[in-house]
Amino acid sequence: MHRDLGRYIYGYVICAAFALFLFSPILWTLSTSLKQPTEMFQWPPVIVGEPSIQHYTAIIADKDFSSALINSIVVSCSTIVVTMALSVPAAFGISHLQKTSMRRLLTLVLALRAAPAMIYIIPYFLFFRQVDLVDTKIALIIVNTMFAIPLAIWYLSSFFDQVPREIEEAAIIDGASTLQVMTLISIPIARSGILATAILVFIGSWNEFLFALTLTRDNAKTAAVAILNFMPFEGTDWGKAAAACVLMLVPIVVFVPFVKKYVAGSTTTGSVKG
Amino acid sequence: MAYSRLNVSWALVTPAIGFLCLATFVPIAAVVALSFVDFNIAFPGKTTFIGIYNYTRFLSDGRFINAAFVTFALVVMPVALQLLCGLALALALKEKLIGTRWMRAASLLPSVVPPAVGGIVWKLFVIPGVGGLSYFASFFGHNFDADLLGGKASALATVIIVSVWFGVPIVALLLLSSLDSIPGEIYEAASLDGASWAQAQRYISIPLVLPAMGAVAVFQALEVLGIFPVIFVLTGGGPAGATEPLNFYAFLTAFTYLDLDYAASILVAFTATIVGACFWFVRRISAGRVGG
Amino acid sequence: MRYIGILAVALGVAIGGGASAQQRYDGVKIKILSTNSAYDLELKKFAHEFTEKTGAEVQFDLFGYAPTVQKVSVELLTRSNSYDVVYLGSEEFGRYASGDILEPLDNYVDMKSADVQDFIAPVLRLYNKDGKQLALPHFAATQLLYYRPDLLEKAGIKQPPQTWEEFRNDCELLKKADIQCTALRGQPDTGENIWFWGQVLYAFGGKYFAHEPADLTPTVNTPAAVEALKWYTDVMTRFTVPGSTSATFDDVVIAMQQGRIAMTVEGAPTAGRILDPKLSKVVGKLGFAFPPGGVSGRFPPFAGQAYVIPAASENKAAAAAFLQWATSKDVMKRISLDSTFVAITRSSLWNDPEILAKHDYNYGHGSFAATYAETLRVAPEWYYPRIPEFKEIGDRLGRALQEAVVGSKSAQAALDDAQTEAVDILKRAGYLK
Repeated sequence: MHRDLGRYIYGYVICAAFALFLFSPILWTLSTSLKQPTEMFQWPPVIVGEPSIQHYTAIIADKDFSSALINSIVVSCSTIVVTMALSVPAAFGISHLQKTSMRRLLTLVLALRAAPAMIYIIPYFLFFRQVDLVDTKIALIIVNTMFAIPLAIWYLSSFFDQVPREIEEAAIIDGASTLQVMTLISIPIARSGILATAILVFIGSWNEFLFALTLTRDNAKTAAVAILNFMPFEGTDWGKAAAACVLMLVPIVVFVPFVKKYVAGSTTTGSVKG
Repeated sequence: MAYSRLNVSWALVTPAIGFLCLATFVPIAAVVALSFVDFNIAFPGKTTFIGIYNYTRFLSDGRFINAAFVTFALVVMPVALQLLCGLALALALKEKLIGTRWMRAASLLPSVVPPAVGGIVWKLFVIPGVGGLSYFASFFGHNFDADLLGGKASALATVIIVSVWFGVPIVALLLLSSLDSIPGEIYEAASLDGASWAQAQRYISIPLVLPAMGAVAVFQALEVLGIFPVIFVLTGGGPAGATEPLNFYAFLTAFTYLDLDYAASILVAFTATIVGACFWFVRRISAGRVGG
Repeated sequence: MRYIGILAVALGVAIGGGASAQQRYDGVKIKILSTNSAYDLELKKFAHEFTEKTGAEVQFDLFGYAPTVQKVSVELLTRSNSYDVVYLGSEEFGRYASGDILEPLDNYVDMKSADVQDFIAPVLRLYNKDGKQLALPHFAATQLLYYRPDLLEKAGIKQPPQTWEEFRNDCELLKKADIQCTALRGQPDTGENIWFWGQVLYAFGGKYFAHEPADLTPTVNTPAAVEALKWYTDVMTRFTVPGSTSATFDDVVIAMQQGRIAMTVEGAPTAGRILDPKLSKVVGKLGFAFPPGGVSGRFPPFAGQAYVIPAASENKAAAAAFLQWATSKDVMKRISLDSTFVAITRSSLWNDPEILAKHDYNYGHGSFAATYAETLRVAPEWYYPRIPEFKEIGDRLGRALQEAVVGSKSAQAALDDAQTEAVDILKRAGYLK
């Protein structure tokens, strides 16, 4: 069966077709970001004539976009900190509860993730307006944390489940408190899982658009929203828009290979559990 | 001893779960309440109870009815296609052929692209005559300059394809890990019995991942309308509402017309339907599993 | 403190009309929400001069058209004090003109001064509500017929179309000569396709309401309106460039600028961009004419753009000073000379030799400035209905137009549905029973 020709034909044809489908739009954007303005709308279209980094230098010099990029970084990293501060202990706790409570809590957490994000937009808009937090990073961090916690708890608790209980028990017999067990034993053992979860939280926050669009004006505007400003009143500046897209993809591309294993693994465990 | 350790566990759980409940239940309750009142944000003092009036407006609101159909199309078709394409890709990746292994990690990329970026990426790709699509068509000698976002059907099809683009990698990955867990001996036994590779897929791989597909379908059905930013950037819901699902319509109602109470009622109906349908589906799956 | 401020302003006005140069606003930060169009971008460049003059800092938050309109509606309707100066197109003026949402300028500016009288009167009136002036517009817009005499001649057409029927016939002739006829706005929005649509509707004998403002029964599906939509649908489906279905004004501008079409009816202010020497392929090739009409006459679209001051702003006096500076003759002139901006709202500048040297395009087929001035003279001030709900009705109607163009509904059905929903909107607002 391994010599079966059908296997090779199928495998290569499908892989090639999907590689084309999945990557060509992104590669086209990359090529656009490197084009001269005169090549942009040339017929027939070209991939790249004389590559130029002028769009990149232009958008980095553009104070509007670079400050939005910094906002994105600040908001995403703060979201990681707050989310992890709440979720790591919670996931550790959940993983050490009796089986029935654990199941109930995880189901609750999963159910809370089911509601579409749009349902929250009106109350959060009204609330942040009331407490004068519109256009602040704090508002975005609160919202992003709210969205990240279920995901984080879900992944983290499965990582804590994998920590061998004998090691924890041994530490307790040696007189360690539960908190010491968590910080000195379980967290170090589960650290790669925790790191992967942190990256997933980062990606979620980095990509968030709806709340950044509605809850910010200029001070707290993130890059995902600032990118729209390259499609302005008159004439979209496609070169700059493409360059901004590529910049926004950099952290994602760096992180994907790193979290791939965990995304696949823990989500399927999740689907079996649920 | 064990008892007190349990208490500590609860103490660790409480802040996160407490915050989560506060941050989700209160807003949802507020939206539901809002949908039953007449609310003008400039004069919150004048809020009055109007019962189900906002929900009765659905019946005479052509835009709502259109958006409901679009929502249906934008959930069912992308999820179906994602499952189909995801399975096709997973079966190919499972083989680990030389030169395809990198695809296992790299193919994940579209599903983690920021949706707003994805919108721009695709807008750029389908610009009539000069986009990437025209470039690829020119290889085949086609002078392709159709305006895909200009026609109702083609705009909807484009949004569905973009939605598949976002969803396929994750579906393929989930199905792949399910395929990878099928013991190799089963295939070896089939091979000894003279089964071809294609037959092995038909009678072993596919039946064994089918149960996982149900769960993946529910997961994706809940995720799939998260492409709001894509629609926002790519079509703005047009042309003539062809790509305007309920969440998009609710967004405009809330933030362009400031008709917040009506927007709330749209969102409540929308959420109840989506979540309700998924729960019904989940129950059917688990009932089926118990029965089988 | 407040009284001192008012006194100071009064004093400033008394001394020299708009010359409130002595007034200082040190430590004040004026926040502006507007579009990233040519005027705003130029203003941002010059803003440091205002800061030097008055001490007030200026912060610009500029967005694309659609996000701006959305943010403006949120800021104004929620009575937010986050911005001191906000963009407002005249098509939405009615939506915010009442209910003390906007701060009248009469408290800060002497409306009778020669400087204010220099604004083109009908444009100024676009922002007047019951005698109160709510803005000093910086942007005056009508539409013109832009055409290519060379291409028309090739198709055997002697003169630009005078009526919409002629427009369609000429498209037919151009098509026979294998020349792309036109591009028109298709994007459904009160400020996009509806701005174009009004003139066709009126020319065919239709109108939006039975008798505004006394009887606000919508009349968007009358036989005249249906005829008008059939014309629009026919032209849009047979004679426009790909992409017109959802084309914004800028798509039309680029089609004309790149020489892809023989004629279009577009905003006069876009001439600067159509003929932008850096990008244009049609410099020296254009003719300018009055937009076509119909049985009821000619109705060039009319609109303005302005900055308004939200009544909730905490820096109203400084904002008013900024507004005066931003629309002053000197600033407007420099902006126009430095950019593609031609939507000048000051009469005196239309006689300014430098402005005319830069922007009076004339290639032997009509003078741009003269045609523009002529349309400004006759354009109806009631072009956009001024009830607050018109934005919602206009957007709805914009969708109906698009529905007919993409063929999902017949012209009659699309307008019937829009009529029903317009009636609903007006009932909810309490105009109709």
